[in-house]
Amino acid sequence: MIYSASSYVGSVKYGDSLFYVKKQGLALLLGLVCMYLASRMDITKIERFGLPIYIVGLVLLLIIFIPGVGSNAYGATRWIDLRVITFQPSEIAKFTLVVFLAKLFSKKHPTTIASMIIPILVVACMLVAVLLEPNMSCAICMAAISMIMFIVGGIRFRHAVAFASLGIGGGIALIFAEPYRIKRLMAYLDPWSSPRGEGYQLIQSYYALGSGGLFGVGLFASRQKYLYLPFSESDFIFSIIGEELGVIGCVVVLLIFSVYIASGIAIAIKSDERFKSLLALGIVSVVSVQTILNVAVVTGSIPPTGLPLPFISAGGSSLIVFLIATGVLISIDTEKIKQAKRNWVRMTS
Amino acid sequence: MVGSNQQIKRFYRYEQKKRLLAILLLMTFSFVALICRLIYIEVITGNELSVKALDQWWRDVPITAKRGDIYDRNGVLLAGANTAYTLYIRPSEVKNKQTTAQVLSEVLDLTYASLIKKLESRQSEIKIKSGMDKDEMLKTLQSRAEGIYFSQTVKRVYPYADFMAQTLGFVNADVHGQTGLESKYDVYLSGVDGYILTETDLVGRRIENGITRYLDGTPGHNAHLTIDYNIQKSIEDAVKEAYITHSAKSVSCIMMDVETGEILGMAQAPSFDLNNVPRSDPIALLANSKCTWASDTFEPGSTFKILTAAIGLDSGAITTKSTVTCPGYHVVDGQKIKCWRTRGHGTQSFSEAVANSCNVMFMNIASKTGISTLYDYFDRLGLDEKTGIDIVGEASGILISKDSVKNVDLARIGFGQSIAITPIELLVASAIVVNGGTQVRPYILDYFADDSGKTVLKNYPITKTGIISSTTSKIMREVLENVVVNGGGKNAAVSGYRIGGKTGTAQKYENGAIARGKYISTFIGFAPADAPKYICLIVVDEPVGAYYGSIVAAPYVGKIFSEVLPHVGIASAFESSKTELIMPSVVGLGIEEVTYIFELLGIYIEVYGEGNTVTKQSPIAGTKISSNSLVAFELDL
Repeated sequence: MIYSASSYVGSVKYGDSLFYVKKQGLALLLGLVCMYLASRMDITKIERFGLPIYIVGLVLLLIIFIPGVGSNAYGATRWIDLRVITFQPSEIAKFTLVVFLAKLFSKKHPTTIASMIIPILVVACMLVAVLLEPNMSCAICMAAISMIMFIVGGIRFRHAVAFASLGIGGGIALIFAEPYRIKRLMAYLDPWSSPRGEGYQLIQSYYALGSGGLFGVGLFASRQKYLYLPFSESDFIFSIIGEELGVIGCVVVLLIFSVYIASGIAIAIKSDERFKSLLALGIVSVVSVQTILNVAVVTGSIPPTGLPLPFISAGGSSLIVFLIATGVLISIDTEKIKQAKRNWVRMTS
Repeated sequence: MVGSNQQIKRFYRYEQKKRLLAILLLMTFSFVALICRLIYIEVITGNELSVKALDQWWRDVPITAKRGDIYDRNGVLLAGANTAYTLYIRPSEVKNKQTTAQVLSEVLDLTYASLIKKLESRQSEIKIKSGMDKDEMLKTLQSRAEGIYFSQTVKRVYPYADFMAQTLGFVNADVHGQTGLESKYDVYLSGVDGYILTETDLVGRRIENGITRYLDGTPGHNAHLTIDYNIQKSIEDAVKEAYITHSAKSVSCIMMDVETGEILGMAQAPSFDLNNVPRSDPIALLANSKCTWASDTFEPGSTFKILTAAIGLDSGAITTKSTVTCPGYHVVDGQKIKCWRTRGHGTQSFSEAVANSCNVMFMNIASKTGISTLYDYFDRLGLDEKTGIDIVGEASGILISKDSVKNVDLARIGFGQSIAITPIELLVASAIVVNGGTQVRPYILDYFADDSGKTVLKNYPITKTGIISSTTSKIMREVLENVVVNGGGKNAAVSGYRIGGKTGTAQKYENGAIARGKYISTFIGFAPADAPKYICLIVVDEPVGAYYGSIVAAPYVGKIFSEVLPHVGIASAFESSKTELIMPSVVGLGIEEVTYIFELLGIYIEVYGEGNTVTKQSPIAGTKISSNSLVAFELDL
């Protein structure tokens, strides 16, 4: 899919229609290795190193602001340029947050205000760092994930409501703090009023989806990828899926995600250890929240914001991180077997 | 305690599972909602969106349709169209840039350096050469140049350059009519452009394996006008001559078929070359490209007397037996209104008064007819509305509103003042008077034929009979013929033909006051006088020097008729003997003496001003004149 969506952009920008595919292929290879390693990992180690992991995530977010390290694009500093590969620390930070929250909640249920102070601070630090980039979409994503973790962690209903309203209020305030966010909001409300300005991308996404119809125009046959739809290989790859494979293709993709998410939740439910359960939930939350937000943006269901579609959008760091997370998920699922194996080894020795 | 702790733990586990399931439910719901949204966009609004998307995916290069030709009534080409080609190159499609540049520089006579620079640019397509003819295009096409394609444009060509410039009009850079008939009938002439559609990316680069479609256009229809090239030629020549001879501000002339309203020719000076439109001065161009004979109103002066006389007769206000005594003025409501011959015409019959163009007679006619009847006739003669000629920007006459016409106004209207009409209105109304009382709608376009010669639009004469009685018309023909035979219209006489007509000299008004020394000289003539077929009006605006219609305007109508009538097959009926004379200098002589001599020779004279001594003469001494021509003098007072 990436090949189809990116070939033209790649050939125009880098003179190589396989440019993105090569990068992504490399990331996939690396990611699969990491995933395998992660799946063999002992989850208790992750639990033990919860705090350092969190700190690493936070530090990565912050070193972006050291001049020369962070790479600026589209008016925000979100990337670390490692020559071969640029990666977004926020992709990693999301998961480190999830790990640490899972650890905190597994120790103490956030049922009282006092017990919530630390987790809230933990989340707040991350949010502030991300917002400074600025990266509103990632912040929304993190907030939603945290919310899910708080809920499943055992937060009281009235606290949840309070948090939610606080979050939404803060979000609105942030939208009005930046003129470009207001413009985007307007573009969402009526993209046709500025077909060449703010509404352009959404309209082009509609064109792609609309041309796809029920069955799509066929793989590789997209017209919108010919530079009409910006970010067709990354944030808006789902539009190209819709154009080439139609509603059917879109539904299949979403079904695959559903299976992933449902399995993840099942793993969380089955897991007898609270940390593992919460970690599994956290990973699934990241995937599901990001998927839902991405598809919602592409279909104009929510104001446009830049979030890649997990596993599918072009972007090496994102793919690797998601694959590692999947490895962790597998590890949690197979923990019992591994434990049994270990016990067996101990008994036999 | 352990037990309760265990219980709490179990409770939490249970609660946690419940919440996990709730989250799963929430996500499932979100997914379902998104799928619904997708179905809505992709399937329900899909068609509408994909149509819009199609529009942006194709780049179109227009192939301008061939513009229809314009012909005269006998098939003489007045405006044609040449196809020109513009060569473009898509640098991205040129594999061997050196070879292509080399080949093109040879074929097109362009420098290699400039070509290679264009070929190496990053633009999606670059214009190499425009205005190429077909041979050049084919040669380029057969060369080894890569990535080339052509667009087709049309260049308008006017074989006779400044011929009929205002009427034909010109086209803009996109070959669409801007003025005249080109503008009026642009829809028919321009046809439907074709397109070359190419699948491109956002910035217009052709996409690999993209399809190129050719949509053929439809050539424009050919216009066939009522104009007769030969008549037009005579008129053009006469107008140019008058324009130069009298250093006039402008001259225009129209000839119409009296029975059908077909315009046979019309010309206007100053003119300009339609093949090279002087666009550097847009204001002058705008003024010069109007058909002033349809768009500008003027006080017609004495030519209007044709209408006053006809109305007087037709309404019964006067008869041919009516007489008038002209002391050189007429008093209306205590106001003295002068006749042009301030010395007075004495007592005259109706016919004589018309021949001498005596203002007093026409003031009388207007007064006797009365405002109500007069305006009723004006309406029937079409003076208060456009004639409906197929020209852009036709104006309609301006009449003082019926309720505010005072007696002095009424008297003045009688001899063509205090009323403003367009030359074409005057021409049509005069045609009604002489053709037996039938109103005609003037028109220039006869028909449009498509590429295969099939008529797609046809103009037919629109007539309305009984505007005035045929008896009145007959009398008017005789009276007006007399003007040419014995009166102020003598210079329009054509040997062997019966011509009728009427002169006019009107003072121009500027800012509501009479502009000193500025006149409009006119003449309306028709032929043959007994059974009119052609009517012709010439308007000479601001002649320098002589300004009397009889001298400045009438001769040109005579000249036009002398050329046109034999051409259209009307045989000369009789040969009149003409003595050629040399005009002597009479300036400084007494008018009594001069009048005596000239009348003895049978030469008609017009005298302007008062006094006894001739101060100016027309024509000047030494000019050849014939015994049946007309001369004019100005007196010292």
